[in-house]
Amino acid sequence: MSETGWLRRRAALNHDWLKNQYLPAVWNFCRVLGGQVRSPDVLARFPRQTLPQWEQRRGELELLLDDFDRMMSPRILLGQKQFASLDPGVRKWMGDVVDALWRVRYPVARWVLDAQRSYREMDAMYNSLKHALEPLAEPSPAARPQTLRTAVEFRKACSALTRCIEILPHRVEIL
Amino acid sequence: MIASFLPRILVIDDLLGRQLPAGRNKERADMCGQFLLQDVTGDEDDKAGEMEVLAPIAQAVFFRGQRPPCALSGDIVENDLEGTLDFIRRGWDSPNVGQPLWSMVLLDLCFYTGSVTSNSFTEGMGEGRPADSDPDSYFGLQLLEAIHRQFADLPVAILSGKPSEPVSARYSALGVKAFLPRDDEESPQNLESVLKTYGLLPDASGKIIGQSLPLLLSLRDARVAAASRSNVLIRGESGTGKELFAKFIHHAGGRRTLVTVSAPGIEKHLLASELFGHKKGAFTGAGEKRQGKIKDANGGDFFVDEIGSMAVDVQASLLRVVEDGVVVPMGSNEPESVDVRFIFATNEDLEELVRAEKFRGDFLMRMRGKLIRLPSLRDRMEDLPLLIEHFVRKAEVSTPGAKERRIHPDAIKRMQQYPWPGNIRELGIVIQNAVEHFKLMTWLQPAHLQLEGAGVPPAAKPAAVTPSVKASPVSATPHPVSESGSRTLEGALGRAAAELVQLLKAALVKTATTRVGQADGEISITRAVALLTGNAKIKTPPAADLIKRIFRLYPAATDAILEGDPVLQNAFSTAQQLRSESLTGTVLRLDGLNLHILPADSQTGDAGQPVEVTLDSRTQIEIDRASATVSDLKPGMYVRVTPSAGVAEKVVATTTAPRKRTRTKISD
Repeated sequence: MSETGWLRRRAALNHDWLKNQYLPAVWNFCRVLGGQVRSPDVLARFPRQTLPQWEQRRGELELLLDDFDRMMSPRILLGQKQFASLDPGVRKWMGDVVDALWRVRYPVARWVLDAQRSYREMDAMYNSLKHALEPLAEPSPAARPQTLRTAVEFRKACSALTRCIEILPHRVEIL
Repeated sequence: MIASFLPRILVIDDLLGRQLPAGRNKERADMCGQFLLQDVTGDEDDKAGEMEVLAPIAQAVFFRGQRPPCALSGDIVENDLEGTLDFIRRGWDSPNVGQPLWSMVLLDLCFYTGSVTSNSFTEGMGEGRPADSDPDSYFGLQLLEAIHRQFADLPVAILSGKPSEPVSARYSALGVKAFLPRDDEESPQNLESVLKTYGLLPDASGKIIGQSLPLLLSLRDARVAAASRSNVLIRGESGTGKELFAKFIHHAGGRRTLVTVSAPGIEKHLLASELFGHKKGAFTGAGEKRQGKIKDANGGDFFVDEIGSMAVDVQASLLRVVEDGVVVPMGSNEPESVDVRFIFATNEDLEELVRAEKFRGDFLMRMRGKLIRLPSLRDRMEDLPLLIEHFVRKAEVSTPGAKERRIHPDAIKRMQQYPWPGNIRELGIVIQNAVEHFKLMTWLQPAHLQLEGAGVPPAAKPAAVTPSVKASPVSATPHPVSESGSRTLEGALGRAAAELVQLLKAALVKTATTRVGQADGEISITRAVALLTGNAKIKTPPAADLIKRIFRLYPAATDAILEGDPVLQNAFSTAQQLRSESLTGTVLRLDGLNLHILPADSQTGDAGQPVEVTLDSRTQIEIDRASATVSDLKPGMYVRVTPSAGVAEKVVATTTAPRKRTRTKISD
């Protein structure tokens, strides 16, 4: 898989789904719980259909983060055809140097750690919200304030994760 | 209408703007909930009642920016620059009646093109081509460049899930007001704030009326000025509402105090003391220490109207306050710190005053911190119907006994053809006068409007600041003398009479006191005739006589003018009442309400030609000082009818002839 493949996966997961679909849906659910929007449809649909999308896609996100430093390291440039004639030993050696320099120059490890931590926090908040919504098909009026607090925490975790993913580089650059 | 106004924004976004063949655009609904927008796109039939934003910050129209707007599997989606610009234009150049202009555009960056497949991430979306996601070729930026070129005044904010950094240099050069990340917790709140500061919004308080682009731009500048503590200079013709804007800026700024000073309203030698204060004994008459008005405004705003007429030496002292924030009271050497934001206003050409050394150039530089230009009424004629409505209702309330009225379309048309040299102030006066003079009418008609020089095309009218007699287009007004009669004596008489009447009209308008809501807002025939004759000492009776003579000079030419002109009608009627000519004579006969009288000359006692006076049921009748009715009048009675022309208002009859008078009795 090339770096463009990783970038495409990120765009599909982070931009197209998490930012443009999932996060606005969580926002809208919070608005409904908070009484700013009236929508019986959202109240019924969110716990059953929207929220569980996280469970369907978190594996892809986890993999995306795991792949990041392998797919976006400038080492990958040495696999391009203009370097095809290079001796494999030299390519390996040069690749290690380029990768090491990249990691020195950029806070690669921190990027990955931050994103993985955000991922875990979102996963934890997801479980909390799911737990809060489980007893009833949809939150009762009495339970809404507590559910809203949990939903807002989940939304913030979701925002934090999108930012951590977005901050990862958008192109592979030669140092 | 103003109070319930919601800004109308245009959201250009492939995902949110796409139409779906069945069902709702769920992403759009969620976005409306997230940003508290009311979707008024009107492309979804079945959403009524499904979701309601209870306190929306704006109405939103969603547009895809691509062809086709409703794409099915197998379709190819392409970006549509021209179609999008056309759509913007429709809500900008000529929005539907009652629809406000776009307050702002929210623009996406990345638009997915290409085939719509069942694998596309969302129904109806293109699967995306590599260039779509490349910051160098974002369609959103192409659109932005075109909007900047074609709709320079239209505020744009970017709402995108893409990072801003790779494109920030480009979009900031194209006048973008804000970048709102889709994932930012603060974005909904920031959108509201950006909309309030940079959006083209009318004044929600309803005090500044109008929705035209020139006014909305001035209001936008005023909001931006209000958000800072920079000094403000408001420029605009007389009557455009500079003081109203100063108050708007003050209220929007949230400061507690507003002190207002009109530079020409204060005696020159007292101005410095008024502004800066003085110590006890600082000058003759300074008995007590006094805090100046600038100090009164400490912590707030200080509005100086008509700054162009401020004396140069006072400007120098004021410059120090503006620059350093310190006031030195007269007679003191101790500067006192003040925290004051200055709002200056003028209708004068300050640059010209600087060239003429009547205004300090350095002061002008300091004043121009934030500049707000107010449009003339001529430049915002689309606001006229709203303004007319406002002033009519206001005049009805302030005029005791005035009936509520509808506004005739011809009256609006007539006002739209008038150049309004006195701007909104003049409009208010014209309508106030119309309501006062025709308070029992239930329609505002063109004939009720005292428009100086009405009927002259705006281009032919000089943009005078105040109404003037010179502006009255006597020669341009068609008079009722026929072409065939133009070379005859009658023709000359007719032309002369018509011109005299028009001169009188101009003099009446010029000398009318022009404060809305005050009793002296009415015309004065004495002042008008004084102006017309150059005799400032003329008394009212001869003035009334002159007016009557003008109208009797050649009635065939002047009656038609009189008929359609409430100002002249008022003047003529006033003159008649002031110099009424009682008709005395003997009743010949009474046909219903028509009284046939044989008049008697009071000097000679000779009888004149019989005349007919029409009474009406309300005519007051006295016979020997007792109230009577028409039927009590008998042939042979000696009567005095007042006034002599038109409908009689009072008939006084005596059963016997007055002594020392010769009367002729004629039997029926």
